[in-house]
Amino acid sequence: MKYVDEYRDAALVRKLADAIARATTRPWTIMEICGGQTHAIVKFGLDDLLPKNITLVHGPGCPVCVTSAELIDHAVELALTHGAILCSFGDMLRVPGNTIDLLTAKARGGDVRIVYSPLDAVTIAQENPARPVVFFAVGFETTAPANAMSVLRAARERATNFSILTSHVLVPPAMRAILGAADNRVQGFLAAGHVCTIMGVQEYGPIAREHGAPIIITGFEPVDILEGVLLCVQQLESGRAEVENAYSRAVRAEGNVHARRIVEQVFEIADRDWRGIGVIPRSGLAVRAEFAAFDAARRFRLTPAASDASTECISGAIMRGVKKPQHCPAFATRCTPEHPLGAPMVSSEGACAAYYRYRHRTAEAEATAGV
Amino acid sequence: MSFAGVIKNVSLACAPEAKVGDYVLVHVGVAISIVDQQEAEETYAYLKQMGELDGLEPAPAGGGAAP
Repeated sequence: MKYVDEYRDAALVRKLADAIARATTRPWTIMEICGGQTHAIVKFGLDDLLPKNITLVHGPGCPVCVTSAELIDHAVELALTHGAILCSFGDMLRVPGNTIDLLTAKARGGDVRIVYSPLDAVTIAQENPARPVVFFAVGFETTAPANAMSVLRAARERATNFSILTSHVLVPPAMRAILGAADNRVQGFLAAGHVCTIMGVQEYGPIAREHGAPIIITGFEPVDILEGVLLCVQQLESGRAEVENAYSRAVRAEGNVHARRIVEQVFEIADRDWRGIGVIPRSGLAVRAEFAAFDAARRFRLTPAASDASTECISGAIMRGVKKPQHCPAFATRCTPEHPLGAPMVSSEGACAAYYRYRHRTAEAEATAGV
Repeated sequence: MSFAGVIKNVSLACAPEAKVGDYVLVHVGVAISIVDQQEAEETYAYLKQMGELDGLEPAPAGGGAAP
């Protein structure tokens, strides 16, 4: 496939790994923000190609993982007590809420449907005009344009039975929260390339300067990721903290102006509760008052519940880079993709799911050996 | 839009400049960026060449590969 296969070139991957090894003289901890990058790193074993003193830790860029259990409870309530057709991306269905997950709600008779795109949910609303249709709109900046478009399309085509349950989050406030925490160990970031495709790069300069952390805009293929690591290590070794774009084939400095305009039309910045991490001020998007009719929370008067029930899941520590999945006592024992205690074990972008899928045997061997 | 042969409808509302023959990044049914083919090829060529220039000689600490 054009512009994909080239960036999986094994010889180039090895050359980059050699260059990283030569550039590294001290230990460094680097966080990749996006769960898509985490999966690529673990799947292709890119971390094993790095020198021992480079540690990659895995960030919060997994929309399903950071969606609060309370919102899942709301989605369940919409499906079971409001008779809504609840449309969602597939990996949300097994994520536990405070009571049950959406798959259980479906088993109990709730009309829960998996869609590929929020725009498909608008079509479902048009095909079922007598029933409320709600799209569970989770996501980062990358997904915001599509979710905003679903509202604009529903408004334009008078699909008044359509609304969205939003759990929209933003990357830069999360990076600040991670860097500002007392137990932070992250020294540099691989920023999520597709978030920057939409938003551009200008938000990152102040973060890099204020926290002395290099930020490399990075893509998702093995060559992209190792190029990001190399540029990050070079900055760390030379004491620089700048923003560099290593994903210029998809990211322009100004982002995607069409997409940003669409997002700004529908959403405004709001505080957001991140599962496992807590409330981060001005770290999310909420539906603007003009579109209140398409906001499921207002329309169905969903009331905030008590904070998320405490569980054994340590997802917050994992997503802040303080711990890795194999450090969790429940990993692959009491917590598996079939019976998850928390979201990162279920989502296709969750760090625990990546380790379970690609590293489970290694982890088992290490545990047996007492490592 | 053709995904390596699989045809799917995709919204071009965020990429109205896309022309037939362009490669685009698609996320949940929406094209979010046109892949800049020149940038893609230049980066790839640059990285390839970087590896060759480096050879197998150890570089000074922090020297890395890129200027």
